[in-house]
Amino acid sequence: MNLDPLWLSLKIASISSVIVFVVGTCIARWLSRRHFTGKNLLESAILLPMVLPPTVVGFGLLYIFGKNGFLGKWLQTLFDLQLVFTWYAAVIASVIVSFPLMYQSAAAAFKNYNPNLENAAYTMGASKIKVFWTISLPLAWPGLLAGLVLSFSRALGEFGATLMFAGYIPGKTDTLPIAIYFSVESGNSQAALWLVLIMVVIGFGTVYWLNRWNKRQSIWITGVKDEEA
Amino acid sequence: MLKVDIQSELHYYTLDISFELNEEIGVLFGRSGAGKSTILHAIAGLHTPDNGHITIHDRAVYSSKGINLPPQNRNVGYVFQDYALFPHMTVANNIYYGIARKARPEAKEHIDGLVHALGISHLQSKYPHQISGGEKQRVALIRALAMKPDVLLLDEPFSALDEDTRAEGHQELLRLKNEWKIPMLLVTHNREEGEKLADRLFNIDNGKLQA
Repeated sequence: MNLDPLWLSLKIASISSVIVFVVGTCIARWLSRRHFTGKNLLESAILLPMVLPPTVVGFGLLYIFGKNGFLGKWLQTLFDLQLVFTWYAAVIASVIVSFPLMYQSAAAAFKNYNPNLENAAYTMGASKIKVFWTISLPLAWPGLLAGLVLSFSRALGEFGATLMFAGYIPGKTDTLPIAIYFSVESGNSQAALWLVLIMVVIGFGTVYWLNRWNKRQSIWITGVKDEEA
Repeated sequence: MLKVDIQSELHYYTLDISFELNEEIGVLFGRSGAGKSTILHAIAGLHTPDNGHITIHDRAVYSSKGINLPPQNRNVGYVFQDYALFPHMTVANNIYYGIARKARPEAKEHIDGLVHALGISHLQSKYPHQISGGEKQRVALIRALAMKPDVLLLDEPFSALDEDTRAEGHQELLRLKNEWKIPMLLVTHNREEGEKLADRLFNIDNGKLQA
């Protein structure tokens, strides 16, 4: 059995999740205590890929990064880099579609604790960086980790945008979901079945873990079990 | 000496207040939402007024003529209404949070004195969710005093406590006032408490000092 699609998917999802985790955490923290006109617009733009069909996202990415897209042209002339139909394209597609999930979890996580905890730290002379690492990050950690797991799963399952933007090139851009589609398409249901089982196991593991983690995190922060609360 | 003279346009009212406080307890008394907490925030640097000046110990920490020290540089001890103890740190780590690692041995004597005086020595390795409300209030007080602040701000520190614990807290605060000799500004909406503790009582309504 050809497991290459699994490794490729894990590679793409891992890289994409790390990017999404770092950028999503920073943007969510930055926006969490700020109020300005246009914040709603900005947040809507961030969340937009969640409600759009992946094919629309894929079309957009082609439009921007394609041969005649403004970023595509620029990358081509400056770095001689063509993103379309490479696994980098799959990473970009995964980042765009999974970013809203990370942002939502992170934004909720940073709103979830009392802002006076940060204020108290400031009055004790702590720098903004110290407060972020010692207060904000540990307190938001359960939500951030949940966001990481969700966006990893979303990246692993990404199909539509990836197919449009990275295409189906066996050995290069055939991620798990795409390999499943083309296995069935070509009548090789047996190969597809194994890949499907792998996806189901990973997916179930994720949801099971998230569910348990959600129950544990409330104990960790408040010391009260769900049943007592 | 603490000097406050600030104006600030807020959502529901205009804060316009001016007072001075020596090494004594000043009580800001008034209904909820009258602007008491905002005054504490402004002194600590967590709220920037539109106009005026704030001086702590002859040091201008805020002036609309271009001074606005961040909270980190104001050396203000702050006991928050909900105590704001860091839930993921032990009592000892909460208390020592603001003290640089190098300065800890030096600060230890002074902090041990506080910890002993307020009777929480046995709680140092506990987490905030494992101790009672009265104990949390003491930890928050010690944490605020640990960095030897120039002024102590207390936002309804006793409102969540039962009557006996509250009375104990009052006695402790009065004792600390004599030891520390710094301006202490306490917010309460309890008139009895205010009258009992105050050297100076400031009645606040709609963001303004009432006679």
